[in-house]
Amino acid sequence: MTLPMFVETHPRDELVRTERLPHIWCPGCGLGNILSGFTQAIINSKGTIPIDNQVVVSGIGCSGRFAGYVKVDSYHTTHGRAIPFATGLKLANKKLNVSVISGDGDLMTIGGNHLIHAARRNINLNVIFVNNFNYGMTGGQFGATTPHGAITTTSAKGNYEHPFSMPYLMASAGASYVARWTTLHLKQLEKSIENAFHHDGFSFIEVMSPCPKGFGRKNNFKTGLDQMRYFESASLKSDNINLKEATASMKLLDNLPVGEFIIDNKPSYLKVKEATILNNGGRT
Amino acid sequence: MLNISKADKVEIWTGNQAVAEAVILTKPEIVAAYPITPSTPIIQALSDAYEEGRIRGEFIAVESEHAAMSGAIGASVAGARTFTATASQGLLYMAEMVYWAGFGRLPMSMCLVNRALAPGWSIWVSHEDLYSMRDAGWIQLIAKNTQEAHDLMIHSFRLSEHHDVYMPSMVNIDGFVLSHVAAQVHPLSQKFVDDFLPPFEPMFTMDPDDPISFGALTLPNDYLDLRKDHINSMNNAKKIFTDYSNEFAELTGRYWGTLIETYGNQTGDVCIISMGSMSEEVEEVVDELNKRETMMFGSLRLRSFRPFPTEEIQKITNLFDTFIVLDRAYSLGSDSPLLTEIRNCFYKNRADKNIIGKVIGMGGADVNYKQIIDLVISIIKETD
Ligand SMILES: Cc1ncc(C[n+]2csc(CCOP(=O)(O)OP(=O)(O)O)c2C)c(N)n1
Ligand code: SF4
Ligand SMILES: [Mg+2]
Repeated sequence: MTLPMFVETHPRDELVRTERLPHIWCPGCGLGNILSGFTQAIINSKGTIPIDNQVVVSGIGCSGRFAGYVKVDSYHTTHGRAIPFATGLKLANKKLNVSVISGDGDLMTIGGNHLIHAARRNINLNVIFVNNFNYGMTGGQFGATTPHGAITTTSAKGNYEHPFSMPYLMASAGASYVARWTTLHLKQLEKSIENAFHHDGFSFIEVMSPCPKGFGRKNNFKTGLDQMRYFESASLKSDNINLKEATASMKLLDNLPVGEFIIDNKPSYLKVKEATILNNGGRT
Repeated sequence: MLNISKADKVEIWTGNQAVAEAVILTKPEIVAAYPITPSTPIIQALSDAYEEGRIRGEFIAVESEHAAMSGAIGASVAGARTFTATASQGLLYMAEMVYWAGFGRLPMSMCLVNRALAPGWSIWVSHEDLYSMRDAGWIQLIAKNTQEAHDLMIHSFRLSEHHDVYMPSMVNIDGFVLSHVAAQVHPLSQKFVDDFLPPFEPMFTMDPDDPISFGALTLPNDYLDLRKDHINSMNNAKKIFTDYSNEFAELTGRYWGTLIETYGNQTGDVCIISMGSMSEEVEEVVDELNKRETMMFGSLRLRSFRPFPTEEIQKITNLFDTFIVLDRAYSLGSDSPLLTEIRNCFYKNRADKNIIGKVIGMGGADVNYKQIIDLVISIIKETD
């Protein structure tokens, strides 16, 4: 049997703006995997969520480029403001399934305030938080999720600050669905995104992703593959872990807890608002 | 011509390096900054300078530009020499605190690496960001090349900290065209900068022995007085900057002009007015057209947009017949910002001249002397 050397189409072409390819992401970058997982989750959810109702909002950064590549209605917003944009969008058209896909710097550093408030409200958004442990796009500076001690372009002798544990922070802020995967866990990620799509409330998925250019090269992961190997050896499925321990040190001997940590069916922002205001003429 | 002795060192630096190296010589105690293209290399170089012990003080890797300017304000109030760098969207996000530092009369310096505003997302040069903070009470200086960017940084701190000026000051350099292109720079020496720029002596600081309150509620009359004082200080800055420029020229042999720099014929048919890196292109245009055409050409560039060199420009209103104002931004619903300001100077002199504005080079569109020549020739033909 002879295998065809070339194929004309890719299984995800339906949901990728192929006219914008080649993409800007570096070789070894994890963002392509996430694009693949996300689009597959949209395809898998077709039966319950029409593709026309799917929208993507991104901030700015390499991860923020997501909005430009995924072939559904999408908005590439300003740095840090994806969540308030998405909130306005969702409330103006409640039938939309609104996903925010953006980077750690965008969502947690410059935009962190909005992220914790969205979680507190338990507003009906799906946040896919790409944690590559640095500001990839601007050349690898440290931010709010960079491991302590990591070498970056603004911490030549090692990061002297401490990172947030995103699952712990999101859970304590009020998020009702919290999961964490790496770009190695493509199937789990796909399923998790589907679960988030169908979850009524604020869903938060942290995806740890290699950024060989900004983070890896300086921190013992010379290539994207090296960091994937680390993900393989360090990640530990721990759905019931005490989230205080959901750290991500990127150190060789430390565990990297992954899993679906929180699935809480408490009423969402929209439900509570409807119950307290809309059905009550504004009086509670 | 620059008068450089053989003993002088020459470096090949990008505009960003030239700025960072100058800032290092001013020994700021606090740099608070958040990265944004095309200004990021400046703050990375400063972060390294602190880590390597080249200067003493602290780099604060803040979580946003709003926090960067807030941090700079805190540091300035504490009496520290302070610096930050940003561009475009970063400046806009910082805006509330930019006004606070300006109206709050807090000496500090910033390098604004000029970049277009979004949307459409563009990382290339425009002067929309510069004009967006026109009324924030900051001094706004503009460099035409890498060497001037290096030299202007020192002026920026000194002017800002002068007690008769006492307000923040920014140096503008064109994104990529200056920030990322390497060119020859004759670095200033530490000794020179120490002599030229005395240590910062704050007029007011937070001092437990002499407590004062900053940012208090202000009643209408006091509010007016605050602004009047600011206006006077802006006017003082004109003379003081002119003096510094002359002093600097005498000491270094590098004459950049005063609030303005003129080039070519000082009187004639056509004067081309511009700012930033485009001005060097315009100098080429003037040389070329003076050779080629029978008309006489000259140019004027602004080194300071705030304070605006009104008197200097008024002086040339009767020396040329036609003025062409080149600008890298447009005030939607009006005209280009530079054109409006220039017309204002002509009105003050009641000078009835041809003043033609052209917006070019926005969002990084290439501007070279050949394009400007074509533009100038077409304008002359139209106005004939
Ligand atoms: C207000 C503002 N400040 C700064 C920037 C510059 N900037 C663009 S992307 C980025 C960081 C992106 O980091 P992250 O969100 O982690 O995305 P990554 O590139 O790592 O995927 C910064 C600082 C900007 N565009 N706007
Ligand atoms: S800089 Fe990092 S995050 Fe950005 S495309 Fe390259 S590898 Fe990916
Ligand atoms: Mg990142």
